[in-house]
Amino acid sequence: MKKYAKPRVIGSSNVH
Amino acid sequence: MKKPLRNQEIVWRIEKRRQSEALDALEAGRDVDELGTVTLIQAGVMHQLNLVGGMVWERCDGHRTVEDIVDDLAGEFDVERGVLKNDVEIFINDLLQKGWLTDG
Repeated sequence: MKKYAKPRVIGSSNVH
Repeated sequence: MKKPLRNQEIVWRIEKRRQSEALDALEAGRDVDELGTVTLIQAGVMHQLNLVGGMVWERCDGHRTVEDIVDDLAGEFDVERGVLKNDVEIFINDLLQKGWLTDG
């Protein structure tokens, strides 16, 4: 069994 | 029952190298909460999802219910099903609000 971490969005940045 | 579906306008891919790094790190007992394994590009902005987030995202195909997704992941991770279900629902609701997912 793998250690669990909450699903989440990490970091957002403009492509340009 | 919700069957979340990915927004077709979003370009995304699984970063296989990062995903395998995350899995290796887990094997070694390290924390991968902050490691991005799936990249999404929506309206010119790039986002990343962590391992579990990416696994949920991959499974949002419009055919599986939230329960199906939770069942799938509950077998992989050391977490109580109730906790996982709650986290997955919060995550999916967040993405529904962002418009990244629709209720298929």
